[in-house]
Amino acid sequence: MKTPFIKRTIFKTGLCALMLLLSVSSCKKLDEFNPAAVSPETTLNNFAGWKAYQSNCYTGLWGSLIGMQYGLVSEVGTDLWTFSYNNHNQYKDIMAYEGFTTNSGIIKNVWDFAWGSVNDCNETIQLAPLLTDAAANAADIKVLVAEAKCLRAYYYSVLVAQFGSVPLIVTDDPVKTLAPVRTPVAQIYAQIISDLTAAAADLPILPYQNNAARVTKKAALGLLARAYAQGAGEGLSENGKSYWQRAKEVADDLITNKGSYNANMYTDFAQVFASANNRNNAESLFTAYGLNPYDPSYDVFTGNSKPNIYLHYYPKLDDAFTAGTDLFKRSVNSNTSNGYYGRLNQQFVAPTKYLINCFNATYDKRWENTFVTAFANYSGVQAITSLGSGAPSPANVTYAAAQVTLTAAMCTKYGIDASHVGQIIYPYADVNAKNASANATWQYIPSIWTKGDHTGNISALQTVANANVHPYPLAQDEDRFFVYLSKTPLTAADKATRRYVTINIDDLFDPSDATGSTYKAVTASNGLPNINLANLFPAMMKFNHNFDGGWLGGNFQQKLGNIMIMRMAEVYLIDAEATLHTGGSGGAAAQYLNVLRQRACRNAADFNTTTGMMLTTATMNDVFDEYARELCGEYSRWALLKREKAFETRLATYNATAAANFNPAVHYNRPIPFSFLSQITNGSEFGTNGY
Amino acid sequence: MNTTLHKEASLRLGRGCLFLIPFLLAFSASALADVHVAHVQTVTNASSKPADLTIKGTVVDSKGAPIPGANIKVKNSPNAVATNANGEFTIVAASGSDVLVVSFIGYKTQEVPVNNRTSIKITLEELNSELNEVVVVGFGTQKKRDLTGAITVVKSEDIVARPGPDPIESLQGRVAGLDITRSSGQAGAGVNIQLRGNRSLGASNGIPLFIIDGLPGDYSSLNANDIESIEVLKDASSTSVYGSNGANGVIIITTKQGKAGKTNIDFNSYYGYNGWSVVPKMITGDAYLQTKRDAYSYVWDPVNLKWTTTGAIWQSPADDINIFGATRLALYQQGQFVDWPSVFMRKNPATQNYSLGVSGGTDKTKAYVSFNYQNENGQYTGDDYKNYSTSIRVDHKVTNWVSIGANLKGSYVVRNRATDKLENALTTDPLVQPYNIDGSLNTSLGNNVYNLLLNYQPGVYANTDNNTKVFFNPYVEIRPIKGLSILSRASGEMDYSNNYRFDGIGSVAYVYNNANIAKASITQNRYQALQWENVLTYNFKIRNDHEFTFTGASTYYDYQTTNTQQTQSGITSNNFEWYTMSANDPNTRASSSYSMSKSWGLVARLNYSYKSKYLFSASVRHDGASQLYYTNRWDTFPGLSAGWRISQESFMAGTKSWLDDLKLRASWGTTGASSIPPYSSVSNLESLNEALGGTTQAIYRNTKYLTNPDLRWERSTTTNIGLDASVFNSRVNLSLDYYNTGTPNAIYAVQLPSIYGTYTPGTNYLTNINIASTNNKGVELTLNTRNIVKKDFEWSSAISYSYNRETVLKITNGTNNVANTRSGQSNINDGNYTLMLGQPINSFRDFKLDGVWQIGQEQDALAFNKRPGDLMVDVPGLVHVAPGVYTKTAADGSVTYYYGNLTLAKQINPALTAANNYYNYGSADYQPVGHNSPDWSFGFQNNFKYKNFDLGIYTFVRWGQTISYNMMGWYQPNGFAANASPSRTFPASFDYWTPTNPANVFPVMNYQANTSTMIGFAGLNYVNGSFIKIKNISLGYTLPSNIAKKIALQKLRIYATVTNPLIITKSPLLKDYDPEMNGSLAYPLTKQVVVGLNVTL
Repeated sequence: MKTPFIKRTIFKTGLCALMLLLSVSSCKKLDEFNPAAVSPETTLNNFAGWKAYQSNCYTGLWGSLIGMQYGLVSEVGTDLWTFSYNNHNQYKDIMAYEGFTTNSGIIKNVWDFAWGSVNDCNETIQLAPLLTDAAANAADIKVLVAEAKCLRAYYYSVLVAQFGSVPLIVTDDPVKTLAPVRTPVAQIYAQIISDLTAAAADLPILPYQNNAARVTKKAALGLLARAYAQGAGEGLSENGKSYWQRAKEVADDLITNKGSYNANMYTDFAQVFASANNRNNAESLFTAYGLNPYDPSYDVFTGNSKPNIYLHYYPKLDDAFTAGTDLFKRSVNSNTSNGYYGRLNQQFVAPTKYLINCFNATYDKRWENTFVTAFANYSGVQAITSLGSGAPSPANVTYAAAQVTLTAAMCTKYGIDASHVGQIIYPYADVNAKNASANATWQYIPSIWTKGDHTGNISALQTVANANVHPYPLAQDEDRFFVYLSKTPLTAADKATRRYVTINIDDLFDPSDATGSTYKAVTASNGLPNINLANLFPAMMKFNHNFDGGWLGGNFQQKLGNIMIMRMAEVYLIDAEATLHTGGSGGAAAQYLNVLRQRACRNAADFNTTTGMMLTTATMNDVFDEYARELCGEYSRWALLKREKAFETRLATYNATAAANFNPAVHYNRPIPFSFLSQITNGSEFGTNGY
Repeated sequence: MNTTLHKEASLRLGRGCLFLIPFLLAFSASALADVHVAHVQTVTNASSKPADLTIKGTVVDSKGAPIPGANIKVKNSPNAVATNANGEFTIVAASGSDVLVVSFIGYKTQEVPVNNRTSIKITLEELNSELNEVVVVGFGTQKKRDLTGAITVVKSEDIVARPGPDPIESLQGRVAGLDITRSSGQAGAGVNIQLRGNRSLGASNGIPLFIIDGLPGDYSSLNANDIESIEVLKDASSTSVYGSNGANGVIIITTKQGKAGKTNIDFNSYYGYNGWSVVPKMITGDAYLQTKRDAYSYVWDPVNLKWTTTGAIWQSPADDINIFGATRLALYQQGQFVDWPSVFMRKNPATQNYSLGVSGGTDKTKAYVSFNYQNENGQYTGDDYKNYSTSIRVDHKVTNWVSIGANLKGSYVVRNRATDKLENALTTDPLVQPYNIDGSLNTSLGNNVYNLLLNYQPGVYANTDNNTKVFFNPYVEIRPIKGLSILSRASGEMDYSNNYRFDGIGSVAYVYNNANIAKASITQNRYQALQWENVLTYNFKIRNDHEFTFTGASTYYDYQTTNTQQTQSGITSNNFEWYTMSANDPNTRASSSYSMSKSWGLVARLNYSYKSKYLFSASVRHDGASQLYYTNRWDTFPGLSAGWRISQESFMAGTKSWLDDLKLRASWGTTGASSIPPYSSVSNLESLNEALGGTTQAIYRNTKYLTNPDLRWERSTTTNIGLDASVFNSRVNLSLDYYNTGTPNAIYAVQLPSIYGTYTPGTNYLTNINIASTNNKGVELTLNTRNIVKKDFEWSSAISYSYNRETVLKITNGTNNVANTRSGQSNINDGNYTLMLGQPINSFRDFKLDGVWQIGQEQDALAFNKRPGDLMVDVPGLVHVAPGVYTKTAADGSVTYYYGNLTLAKQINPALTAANNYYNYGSADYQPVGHNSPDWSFGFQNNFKYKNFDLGIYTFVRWGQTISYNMMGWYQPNGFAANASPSRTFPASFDYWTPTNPANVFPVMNYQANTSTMIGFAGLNYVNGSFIKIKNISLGYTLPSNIAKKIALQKLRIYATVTNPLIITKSPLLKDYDPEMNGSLAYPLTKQVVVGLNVTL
């Protein structure tokens, strides 16, 4: 046993030495290896890395802040919008101040999305002075910092308008306190003004690197005018000048020198929302630039979700007409079904009678360029011609399949005069289909059938500026629509001449609400030709982008077009508003409004005092009305009523539904979201804004 | 941990030093060959001595059954033999006065004087066999009698007693303190495991650590027949040697290995059917019509505060067309209701398992090889699970002091998954025609309803996984001197899983959400784990009474995963599936990701036993893990325990006749939970692209986790006191444990408020913080009894009971509730739990409901702007002061009046002027509404044996848990609106409110109502999920051994098993539902019937 023992001992000794060696080397390093990330220290200290970081400041812009969430929060609960039938549940907190609590999801979204990019702006601004590498060009840095300031100011302007006093965070402090404190509103406005003033000074006239998504000087100036006006509502002043004065100065400057700022006004209101003008809208001061489905960039979208704002302003046509059974051929209730309207399955928001009556539709083309009041079927002849059986199902509609031959039963059901039995209702639009890219998929590009041509030949199609717009008023012999909501009350005899369902808009309102904020319900006694027609209302279509590049083929609720955050027309409105607040004359204010009114005339000759389209003097009510006509739906009404302290008066007059629960002590600010309050340690001190 | 070892093999161990002997493998054969030969010769010499007297005999047990393999030795002589299979032996003794020493494991060794007999019958007395069992503990083994921690052992026969794909499921109810539920009946679905309640909040932190043959591993593809034993380590003194990973218990699985002696061939198999799930009956037929009519028969009159039929859409059957629409009314009148579950689900899908195990060997080399095939079919077509697995184990003694061996476990799992779930089948529109008149599939049901059978069309859909897993585990052990063992083992685990998915033309996704685009994807996950452990064990005695065992160990783990994914869209033919992806195709895309973690641990433990009477153990582990921020990467985890075998004391001598064993145990220890995700403690930058102005722009953004340099290991400290008793000759065995576990710094990734920016819009940054202090206290009882032991009849039972109380003691960030905790583990939806002071960890916080406002309560309801038929939410602190008037007193003492009718309110407080002041139900009214972990659970196994028949009945009770029952949310108050998307249905048992039916659970059926806006509706989901079920009944017949022998078998047993035959729920709302599914409706648990066969050759 001796030999093995010796061997063993030698063996063991060697082994132990080996083990010691191995163990010393291997127990030291437990560092993580992360090939998918880089360290901020080595990346953001050079211009290229910093610039890439800066670009992310735009992420918060195109998503929910221009989608349904902020879209509704910024507009409803005002004199302009009310519930459609059967929707007095959804969003009754923001629409009518009913059951408004800190757990409103939509308010939480606005809070989160508005804050989302602020920190990126802060860090961008903070790191700029530290850039010293060769590529760090002072001119570029100046512009990019100015962009970040402009964006930060915009994000804060949303927050302060909606929530009032919030924490003002302008640096990226590594220590993030979970006990944040609020900053007074005045200080927040001062920061916004200071950022926008600096941005306006440093931003170029044309966007950096010619990227139309990037903000320019006119954006900063426009926002500055708006911020002054909004801050003016808080009674603020600067160096002895009231914010109203400053708002007027900035607005005047923009108007007077608009040529030098590359700020423009279209001469015709129809151009503002024309399909061709969506991507490079001359009137836009500040655009949330959409996605191009034809470009690979479509697939690298970093925003929250693509805007689904448009459908909430449309009636659920399926509820009014059972789709596919008689007058209405293709359902809009389900996804990727109707290639003309998209997916209309919500009907959250309908115009109040006040908003409808703001328009003098006889002369003012803004009516039909804002509201759809006649609904039609569509065909897909172009798509079938070019793609044959490969046409995607929303476009796979032959001309014949889009036609409706009126039967006695249909006429009875919908109150169409029996004389029209046997007549045909033809489609109004025809869509082509193009597959844009793998993920964005199909585009459904509409053209319009020439009235009276029933050949179904592609040659009978016309390309129009905006395929959502239909002829106004609808002619008695019109044969391309199956329902018409007439703004002008039509007599029974007149209705009988029409081969389509005709309803006077006035008849959609419940007469028991004198303020015009209540639509009739689908009840046995609603007096409509068919009780289900109570689902209808004029549909605000400013955001229903259906041009080539505006569709998202896989999700008809979302659209890809640009959405203007601010356009030049608003500057005229601010100027008129500020004029009245700074002691200016009604006549002076009227001049600003007339610029908008003149281009809204259906015939140029109608711009005169007899038609009422030309104003000689303007009151604050005229300003309110003009804001409504020009900007309804465009993310502004709630802030306007807030700064004008006008909720109490205007809701009482025009929206009794919302007035019933509006509490001025509370509702001028939105509730601080419950989720935020439960993330911080001083929730009860921070407070809910009275909710 | 500097320790001086025995002189002969002494060496110094510094911190970080470890024993490893990988090179031994290369050296051993040549270097030690001579030793090997010498040893063999010694043995040969020993057995060739001359003899005088030949004795023949048999060895039997107390029941007279022969004991094969017993050792018979002539005392003071080298002569020794073993009994054969019939217990017979022949031995040669030197003289008639020699003494035979007869021994066998588990029996008392006997000395039998030969007394010149040539034929002897020896009856061996059984030892208290349980106490001498060897139990696997962390980094070693211990005799059961020496255990000081709380450890439960489950043996192989119990593991295979309940046939199923998941070996751990067989532990349900067997191990007190181990809460096991199976929430899915999907083929191959795993179980949920929780030991002694929840301590940790992180998703992966709640699961016990699985140790397979000594090293951490994944048990999911192991075959139950390959498992020798499962040890569950429950208290911290047992688990603290696993340091950072031991906080949630450790489950040690030991697989079978070869045994010296005759070759054993085991064949086990079963075949049976899954199915017969209980499925709620949905509203169809006349009830469907009635529900629609109910919904349209009333409108609310807000002036008179009453439901009225005036102006209602439905007045008479003539109005049916208005509420249905012509098309649907026609379908209704034709009675075209589809019973979707029966159309959609397979009747009785088969399940089968075949397992062949061969083991054998010599003293020097032992081997075990098994092959298993398992095939389980789910209840949906295209849902199945096949597992081909093998376990190969070789142990070889190179010399009497060096052993090497290896263990290879491999499995290949193929799994197909169906798309739609029971939930969809139950709730989808029943009033449609799944097939056209010509028998073809109706592909367009309209109204957002897709035909659930779309994906059953040939070739349109596939979702296949295949998963190859290899676990290779070589070891070498040297025992240089008596009592000293140095073991080094390494393992490589490779887990390659692939998923292939195809949503082709005509599939659900194609029709419904992919905009008529066919898509395919291939996802590949490669997981590699390298582990290396070195364990030194030195066992020595001082003066025979003092036994010491020292254990030192080092562990090193390195895990890496890489993931790649390829997708293709716009596939033009269903032939192509995922096979035509191409770099040249613009619709083909690829992505990859990687993650890693490493950890390192050093362990030292000393066990001391004085005469097996006083037992003591102390251990310490020092651990580091890469996931933690570098400032706090290392931590130390101690453990202490002691045991006192009272029954060994001399003063207990009088109890020997009935008390076999009585032991008191106490332990204390600290363990950790480090398993936060990799890269979650440090902030970095991600590089990606964004769309800006219609072009692609490269951007950087911060990673999702922000650094918390203060983050520390989560540590749990447990005190455990236990008592083990065995009485009446082991007829009754009792084990009782009390534990108290404190986790003062549970880690949770909190969402930073969005004021500090968001990672992506709407997604907050996260930062891991030690947020909460949690506590678990509990009692566990295990009672095994042999109630009746007769010659032909035996009845034994096993009870396990556990009670656990889990409490959140402190939340450090100041709020008293943190929502959305435990994502990834929640009941139903991720983040469904809220952390609340004083509540269990998995608690629900939501509206608490007091039923439905009834007629007569109009004014009270109005104070909340509610109507009879709306839900009544319980509002903490609200006082009902008069009809229609409520008050709430704020912290500052101010009183607010809530009312809907000023006249009524003025009677209480004339100063009020506002027309109304409604109380709005909101988040402020959220309350704890139950917790998902049970208060107690109880398992009761009864086994009966009559002659050759055996019967096992297993009952399982789980009590006190609240579940979030998805089905409640499917209530549709709007009367299946014709154009709602889509028109759903709900269970016929849902008793809803109407003006003529004062139901008190489900709110009003009215076409203008909508669950998403009925405040409080979410509170309906929380249902008491307590249940009693007979989980399993098994009846077997074993062929009598004499007959078996005739057909050359050692053993043959046939059996039949029924699983889940009976379920009793506490809540009547869970009608036709098995609450073990924990609220889910995706894959119902099946009732299973199998017949099986166990054969040993």
